[in-house]
Parts: sequence; C-alpha cells; structure tokens
Amino acid sequence: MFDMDISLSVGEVDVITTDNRGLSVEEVAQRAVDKILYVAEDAPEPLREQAKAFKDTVREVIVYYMKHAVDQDRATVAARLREAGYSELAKNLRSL
Amino acid sequence: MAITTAMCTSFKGELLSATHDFDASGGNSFKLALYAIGSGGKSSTTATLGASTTAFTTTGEVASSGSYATGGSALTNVNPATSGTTGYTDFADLSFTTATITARGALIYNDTNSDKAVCALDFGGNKTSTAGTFTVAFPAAAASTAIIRIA
Repeated sequence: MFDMDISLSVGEVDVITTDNRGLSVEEVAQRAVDKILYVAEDAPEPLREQAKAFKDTVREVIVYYMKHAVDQDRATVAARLREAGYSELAKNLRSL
Repeated sequence: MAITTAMCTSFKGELLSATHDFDASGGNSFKLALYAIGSGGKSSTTATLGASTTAFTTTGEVASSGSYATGGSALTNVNPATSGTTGYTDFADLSFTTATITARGALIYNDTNSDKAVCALDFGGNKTSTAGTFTVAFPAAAASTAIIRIA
C-alpha cells in the first residue's frame, strides 16, 4: 500500500475599483506587467532586482503604446463624429 | 454568514469524474459572480460561500449595475499548465464597467455544467466602485500563486 498527498489551493485575487471613471492606462499597464512577469518571493536577491528593473521597463513601454492606442482610437472616433456632424463633440473628445 | 476563500469540496469530487474542463479552446465556460454580505446584495439577502458551496446561487449576489448582470460574466480560460510537481490554471482579469457595486467576495462556477461551483473568493473586505470600473485581477499563473493549483 502507498499514500499520495495531493493538495488543491486557491490563489488570492486583487480587486481594483474606480469611482466615476474607468481604469487609467497606468493601472491597466500594471495589470499587464503583473501577468507578464512574476517574480517569486524566494528568488535570489540579484535575480529579483534584475527582474524588477525589467518589469519597470516593460511597464513604461506598455504605458507608452497604450496611450498611443487610446489616442489613435479617439482620433478615429472623433473623425466618425465629425463626419456625422458632431464637430463640437469630436472636439471635446480630442481634448480628453 | 460569511464568505470564505475555499476550493469547493464538491469541485474536488467532480474533478475525479472529469466534470470540469479548463482548456482555453473547447473547454467549459466558467463564470464569476459577485456577492455581498450584510446589506448590498439583491433582495436584502446575504451571501454564505465557502467549501460547502456546491453551485451558483442568487442568494446574496449583488444587483445588476453597469456591465454587471445577474449571474456574473464569463471568464476567459487560460490553458492549464504545470511547473515542477504542480498543475495550475488561470483566467484573464475580469472588469465590470460603469458599475456601482459593493462586493465582499465572488464565486467561480461552471456555466456549462449545471452551474457547479469551483471556488469561493473572499476579497478580505467590501470593495466598492461608484459609476466606475470593478476589476477582479487574477494572480500570476505560477505554481505558487495561480488561482487554481493542484500540488
């Protein structure tokens, strides 16, 4: 006879909430970075530091391109609004 | 009356009868529903979730608001993986927008197979969004952190 110990575990979720707005580019980028790169708490210190530095760089790149994507999407929506005769609304959208 | 983070006991048994399939492609559809304790749930009910929960329940579920509708929303499966001697699976983060919600926890359940419960999640306190975004962010998909792990 033999026994095998098998355990099932549930991880911890984070909850992020906002009032009267959506998530900012920085908040979404942080979620993306946390998904892309996980650094184990028991990893050796030099590795942890390198990983943290890499994570910061990745976050900056994601923030830059996400802002660019948001801006481009707003430009497209503003163009459609102008075409439909809503120039003032398009102007307001571009000023966000 | 409480919400306790736990793998549902019924889910453990159902794993042995291949009731749940977490594959990203062709797998079952899993949903996440939000719950309140005390006031805040629908019909002034309060939620009790934990290891003994066997299926989705509307008792204590938060009211529909913004993009949150009764029953919660579908999760995006991430293919199960292994690391060392641990098997795990993950879901993409889930957001409800333009929502006024106060929730204390959540239930992940199998929408494909009779709403059978997977696990209960305690947020550790009430989390509130007011006409804003309510995001449930899942932990890193790793052997020591993933949302569902078998070691």
